[in-house]
Amino acid sequence: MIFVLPMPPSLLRWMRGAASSRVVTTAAAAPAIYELYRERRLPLVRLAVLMVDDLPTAEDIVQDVFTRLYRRHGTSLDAVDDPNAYLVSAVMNAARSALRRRRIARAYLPPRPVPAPAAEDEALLGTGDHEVIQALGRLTARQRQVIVLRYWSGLSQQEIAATLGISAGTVKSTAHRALTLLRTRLEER
Amino acid sequence: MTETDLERRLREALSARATTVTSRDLRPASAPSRTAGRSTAARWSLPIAAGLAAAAVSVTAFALLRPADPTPAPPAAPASPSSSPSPSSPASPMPRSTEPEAPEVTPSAATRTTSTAEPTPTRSTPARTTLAPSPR
Repeated sequence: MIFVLPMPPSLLRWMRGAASSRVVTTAAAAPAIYELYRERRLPLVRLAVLMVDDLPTAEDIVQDVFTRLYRRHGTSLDAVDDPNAYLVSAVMNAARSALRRRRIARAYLPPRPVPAPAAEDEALLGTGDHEVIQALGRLTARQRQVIVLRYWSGLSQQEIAATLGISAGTVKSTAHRALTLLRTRLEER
Repeated sequence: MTETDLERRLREALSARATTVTSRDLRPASAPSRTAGRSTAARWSLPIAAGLAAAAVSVTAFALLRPADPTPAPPAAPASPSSSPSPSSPASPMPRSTEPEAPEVTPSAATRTTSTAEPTPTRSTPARTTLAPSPR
C-alpha cells in the first residue's frame, strides 16, 4: 500500500526551480576569466619573469592583474575588446612598477652582495645566455619592456606602442638605444 | 657583432630564461575571486560589526546593572534675592534657628541685624511689619 502525502504547491515550485537551476549550472560553460586564467597564467608569469627576473614577484604580479580584471569586469569579459592584449599591457605596467619600487628600495638599503645564481638556472642557461640576461637587467625598465616584447613576444613596433601606450617612434628609438647598450656590454666581456 | 647576431642571442637567451619556469614551479592555481582581493567595505565589515556588538553589549549591561535610585530628590527651590515677600506668604522658607530673635520693630532695624542675603524690604511694602507673623 502506498500513501501519497499532499505537498503544498509552493514547495513543489521550489523543488522544480532548484532542479532546473542545477541543470542550467551544470550545462553552462566555465566563465571566460577562468578559461583565460588557465590558458594564460604560465605565459604571463614567464613574461613577468623576463621583466623582474624573480619568480615569486612575477607570480604576484600576474595574480594581481587577474584579480583586478575580475574585480573590474567580473567573470564575463564581454566588455574587454582584447583580453590578451589587456593582460600583457597590465603585466608590463605592473612589472615596471615593481622594478621602480625595487630601485627605490635599493637606494635606501645598504648594498648587498649579488646572490649566486641557482644551480638549476646555471644548468639550463648557458654561459652566453646568462651574460645576455645579466646585461638585460642593467637596462632601464622601459628599454627592457621593449626588448622583451620585441624579441620574446614577437610584437611589431605598432603592437608594442599600443601595449605600452607610447608612440611608435619612441618604441623605435628605445629599442635602438637598448640594442646599442647591449652590444657594448656584451662586447666588453 | 652584427645586429642579427645580437638579435639571435637575445631571442635564445630570453627563450631559455622563460623555459626555466614551468607549471610545476608555480604555486597552486587559485582562480581570481572576490575573496582574493576584498573590497574596502568587505574588509571593514567585520571590525564594524564587532564594534557595534560591543557597543550594544555595553549599553545593555549599563541599563540592566545600573543602581536603582529609590527616592529622587525634589529639585530645590532657588533662592531669588530679588523676590519680595508678599503679605499672603505665611512664613519664610528659610530655616530659622531655635534661638529667640529680637523682635522686629521696623524694617530698617531688621535689615541691620540680618545678613545681606535676606530680602531687603523697601518702602513699597510697608505692610510687612504688621502682617508678618512674629516667631515668639
